[in-house]
Amino acid sequence: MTTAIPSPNLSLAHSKEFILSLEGVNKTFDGFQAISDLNFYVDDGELRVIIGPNGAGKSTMLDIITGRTRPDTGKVEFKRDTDLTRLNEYQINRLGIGRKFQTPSVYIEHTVFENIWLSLEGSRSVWSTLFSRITPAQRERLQAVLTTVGLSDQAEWKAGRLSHGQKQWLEIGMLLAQNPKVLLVDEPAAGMTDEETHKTGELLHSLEGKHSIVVIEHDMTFVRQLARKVTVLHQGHVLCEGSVDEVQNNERVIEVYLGRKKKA
Amino acid sequence: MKKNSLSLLTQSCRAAALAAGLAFTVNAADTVKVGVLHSLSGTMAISETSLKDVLLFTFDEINKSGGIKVSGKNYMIDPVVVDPASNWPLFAEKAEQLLVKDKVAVTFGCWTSVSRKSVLPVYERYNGLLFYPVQYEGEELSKNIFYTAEAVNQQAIPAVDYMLAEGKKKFYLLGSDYVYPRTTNKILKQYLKLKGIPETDIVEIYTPFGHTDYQTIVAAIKQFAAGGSACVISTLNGDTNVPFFKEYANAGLTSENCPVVSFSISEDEFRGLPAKQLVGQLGCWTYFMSLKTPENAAFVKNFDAWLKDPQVAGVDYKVTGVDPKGRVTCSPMNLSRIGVYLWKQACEKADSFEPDKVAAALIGQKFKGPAGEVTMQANHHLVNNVYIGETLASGQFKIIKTFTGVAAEPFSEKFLK
Amino acid sequence: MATQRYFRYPQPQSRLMTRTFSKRELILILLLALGGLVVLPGLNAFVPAASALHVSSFTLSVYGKYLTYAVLALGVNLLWGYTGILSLGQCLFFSLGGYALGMYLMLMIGKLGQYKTDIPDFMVFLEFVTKYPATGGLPPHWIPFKHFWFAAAMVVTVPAVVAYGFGWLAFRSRIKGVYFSILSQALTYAACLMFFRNDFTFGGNNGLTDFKFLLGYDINAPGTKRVLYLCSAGLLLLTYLFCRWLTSTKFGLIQRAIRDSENRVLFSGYATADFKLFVFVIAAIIAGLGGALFVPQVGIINPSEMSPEKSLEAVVWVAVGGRGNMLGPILGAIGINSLKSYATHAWAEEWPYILGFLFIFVTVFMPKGIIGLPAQLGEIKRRYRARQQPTAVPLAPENAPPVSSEGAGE
Repeated sequence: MTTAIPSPNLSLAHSKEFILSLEGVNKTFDGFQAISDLNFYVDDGELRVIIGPNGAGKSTMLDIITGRTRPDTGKVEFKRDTDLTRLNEYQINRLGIGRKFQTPSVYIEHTVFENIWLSLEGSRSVWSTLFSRITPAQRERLQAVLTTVGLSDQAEWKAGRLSHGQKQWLEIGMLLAQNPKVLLVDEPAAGMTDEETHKTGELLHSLEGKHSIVVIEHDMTFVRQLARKVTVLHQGHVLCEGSVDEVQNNERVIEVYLGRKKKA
Repeated sequence: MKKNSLSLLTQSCRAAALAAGLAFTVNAADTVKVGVLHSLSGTMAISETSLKDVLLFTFDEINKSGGIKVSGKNYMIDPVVVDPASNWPLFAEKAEQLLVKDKVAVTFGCWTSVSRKSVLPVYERYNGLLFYPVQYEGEELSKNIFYTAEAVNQQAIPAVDYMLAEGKKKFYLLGSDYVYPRTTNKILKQYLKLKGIPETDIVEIYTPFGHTDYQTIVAAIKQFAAGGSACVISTLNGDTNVPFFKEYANAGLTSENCPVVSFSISEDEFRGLPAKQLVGQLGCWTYFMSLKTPENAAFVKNFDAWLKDPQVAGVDYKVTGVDPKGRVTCSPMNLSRIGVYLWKQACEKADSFEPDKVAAALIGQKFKGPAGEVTMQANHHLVNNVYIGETLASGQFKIIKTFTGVAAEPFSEKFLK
Repeated sequence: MATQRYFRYPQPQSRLMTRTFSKRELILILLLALGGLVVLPGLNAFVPAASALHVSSFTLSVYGKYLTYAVLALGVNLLWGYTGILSLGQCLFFSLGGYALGMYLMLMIGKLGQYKTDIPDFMVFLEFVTKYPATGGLPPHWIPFKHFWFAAAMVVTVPAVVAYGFGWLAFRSRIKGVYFSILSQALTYAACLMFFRNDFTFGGNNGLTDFKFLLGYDINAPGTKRVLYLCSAGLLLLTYLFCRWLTSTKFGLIQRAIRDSENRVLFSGYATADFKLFVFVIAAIIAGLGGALFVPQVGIINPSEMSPEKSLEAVVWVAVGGRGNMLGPILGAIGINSLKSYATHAWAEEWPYILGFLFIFVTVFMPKGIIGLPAQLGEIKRRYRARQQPTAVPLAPENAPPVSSEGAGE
C-alpha cells in the first residue's frame, strides 16, 4: 500500500505507461477455466472496449481487477507498482479504480443527490461520516457531476424512481464523483433505448483522456460508436486486439464470436 | 377515520370492563378469588397444565361440597387462571398482578425452582400466600410460601436407605446441571459418607441442559457397576431421560445388575418416555397413582370423570383447554390438591382469608389424602408417607416399600447429624 | 442536515432536505415524553391510591419493563431496519447487561439471604468456599461488582466487547444474510447453555434473584420502582434521540446504502465491515443498557433470557411495529407486551393463538408494520383513484407520515 496518494504529474509524458496490467492470469472455478493465461494492458487515459461471447471471462476479469476474486496465478498491477491481488475491494477502489456493475446498482432509497454525495472522494472512515457535513467545494463538484450525467433535474428524486437508463447514468456519475483514474464499466448500454445508448457513448467519449476507461459491451453498434481499440476475449484469453474494423474482419473472431452473434 | 374506530373500541372495552365489574360485585359476597399460576404455554406447559387441571378439579370438588365456611358464609372458590408462559420474569409479573389487581386470597403455582425464586420476593412484599407442590431442593423457607412438595429427605434419603438395605455399596449420582440435582447430590454424598460408604465408591456427575449424548456416561456406569452392588441415583430431568435410558438398555445395564432410582419421573412424565426401557427401574415419591386407598380410588375416579366434563361449580368460570385423553395422576398433582384442602381447612379454622391468620392456622393442619394422612409442620413443609415404586410397562409403579410419617426438613444440615 | 443550506431544489422530499426532526415529530416526542416521564409517574406518586386516576406501582413497573424492551427493540431496528443485519441474538447483549447489574445487586443482598452469609446463596450451596477459599467463596471476578460504578461500566463494556469480537469475526469473513442470523442465534444459544452451567459461577439455571437493595435503597419500595421507571423512560428517550441522530448523519445514509446495495458501498471505497461492526456494537450497548434496567424491575435474570426465542420475540416486536423507522419498534415492543400481559390473564388458554394470528396477519398483510398502516392505506387509496381517472398521478412519496400516538406512550 504505497501508491494511495495520486501522482500529480500524471500526464501525457507518462501516457505510455500502463495504468493497468494483467500478466499470465489464470482463474478456475470448480474445474471451469474462467480466465486462462490472460495478458491485458491498459494505457493511461485510454478508452478500451472489451467484447466477447458469454462466458468469455469479461466480468471475471473485472472481478479480478477490483479485488472481488483472487486469481489462481498471475500478476495484476496498477501503474506497474501496486499489486492488486493483495488488496480488497475498498482498498482497490481507494487507489482510484471505480467499477460500474452490469445491472445498475444504486441506492434506491436514497435521493440521486445522496447517491452522489456518498460517492464523492474524501475520507471513508466510520468516524468521519458521523460528523461530516457537505462543504461548498463538494457541493460544486456534486453539481458538476450531476450536470455531466444529465440528472440535475432529478437530484431530489429517490433513485428508485429513475428509469433504467437514468440509473445507469447515476451509477456512472457515482463513479465520476470518486474521481477515479480507472473506470471499469460493465455493459453501460444494457437495457437502454437507442437514444440513451447514444448519449452514453457521448458521455464516455467526453471522459476519455481524463480517465482510463475500460468498457465491456455486447452491442456492436455501440462499440462502433465508441470506435476505439477493441480487445476480444474468448475462453478467458485475449483472442485479438485492434480497431473495430480489424477485429470484425479477423477470421477467428468471426468464427467464435461474430458468427454466433449473427445467428442470434 | 382511524381515530373514530379506535375510540369506539375503547368505549366498548370500557363497557365490557364495567359489565365484568358488575358481575364481580354480585358474586363478591360469597366467592373468594384464588390464583392459579402455572405455565400453560412454553416449555413447562406439558408438566404444569396437569396441575392447573387438578386445581380446577379440586375447586370444583370443594365448591360442590359447600365451599369454604368463613364467618358463617359459604364461599365459593373463584379461580383466576393466568399463564406465565414458562417465562420467569413473567411469573413475577403475573404473581404481582394476581395479588394487586385480582387480590387473590391465595395462589397455587410454580413448578421449577427458578419460577418460585422469581415470585418469592413478590409474595413477601405483598404478604401473599403461595402453595408450592413440586419436589425441590429445599434450602429455602419463606413465611409466605407453604411447600407441600417433597423435600430432599422425603425422596432422596429414603431412596438411598432402601438401596443400602438392598445391599448396594456403590452409588453413581447422575443429574442435570440444575440446582435441585446439585443440592440433592451434595446432601446424598454427605449422607452416604455418614453411612460408611467410602468417597471412592461415590461418583457425582452432571450433564448440561439439553444433553443428549449419554454414551460416555453409560460406559462409565457400566465400568463402575462391573463389580456388582452398584446403583444409579438419577436426578436427570425431563427429556434427557429418553437418550439416557435408551443408552442404558443398549449397554446391557438392567434393574437387576444396576438399578436406577429416578426422582424426576412421575406417572405424568412417563407418558413421554419409552416404557420398555424403564421397566424394573425405581421411582420414589410421596404418592403413586397405584396406591390402594379408598381416598385414592375416589380421587382417580372423580378426576377422570371431571376431565370428561370439566367445570368449576358455583362460580361463573368456564374451563377450557382440558384434554381428557390418556390422563394420569401423580405426586405433584396430589400435592397440589392437598394444598387446596389444607388452605380451606386453615381458612375455616382461622375464620378468615387474611393471609397472616391463615398461615398461622395452617400449622398443624392434618388432611387424610390419597397417600395417607399429612400434617403441615411449623417449617411450612409436610409430614408425609414416602413410597418406593418399581416401574411397570404400563407406566404405573408397583409399590415395593413404604416409609410412614417422614417429616420434611428443608435445611440439610438439620438431618445430616 | 447541512444539505439544505447549500442545495436548493423545489421538492424537499428526502430526509436530508428537512431538519433531523420535523415539527410534527418533535411535538409527538414531547407529548410522549411528557406522558411517560411526567404524567404517569406523577399519577403514581401524587394521586392517592383510592382515586381512579391512581397508577399503581405494579402498573408502573410493568410499563418500566416494557420500556426496557422498547430500548432493546430500537437496537434491533438499528441493525435490521436500517442496516439490513438481522441479528437473532440481541437478547444475549440484553442479558449480559442484566447480569452485570444483577451481580452488583446480588452482592448488595448481604446477610439477608437464606443462609445469612456475605456471599450469594447459590455460592453457599455450591460450596464455592472450597474453590475460592481466599475470598470466602466469592469468585475473584465477582469482587469488583461490589462497586456500582464498576457494574455500570460493565453493563456497557461486556456487551460491547462480546459484540465487537463476534462482529469482527463475522463481518471480516463476510458472513451476511441468513448465515449471520443463524450464527448470531447460535452465539446466544451457546451463551445460554454456558450460563446454565452451575460451574460458570453465575447462578446456573436459577440465575440471579431476590435482590434487596440498589445504591442503598430498598429495591421494592414504590419510590425506587418509580425512579427505575423514570430511568427506563429516560433511557428510551435518549436512545430514540440518539438513533434518530445517528441515522440522519452521513453514517446513517451509508447504513441504509449497505442495506440496499452493500456491494456498491464496498466498491465505493467504504470498508463496509467497519460500518456494520460499529452499528452492531452500538446495538449491543443499547441492548445492554436496556437489560440493566430490566433486571432490577423484574427482579430476576436467568439464562433463559438468552435463549434464542427471546431474541426472536424482539424481532417480532420490530416486525409488527414496523421496521425502518424509530417509532414502529417502540410501538411494537410496548404494544405486543401490553397485549401479552393482558392476554395471559384474560385469555390464559387461548392467548398464544390470538397473538400468533396477529403476528401472521401483520407480517403477511402489513409489510411495513402497524406504523406503516396509514401510508399503506394512503397508497391503496391513491392506486384506486389512479384507476378511476387515468391521468397521471405521481407515485407515492416513500416517507410515511409520522404515526398516530395511540399506544406508543402509555
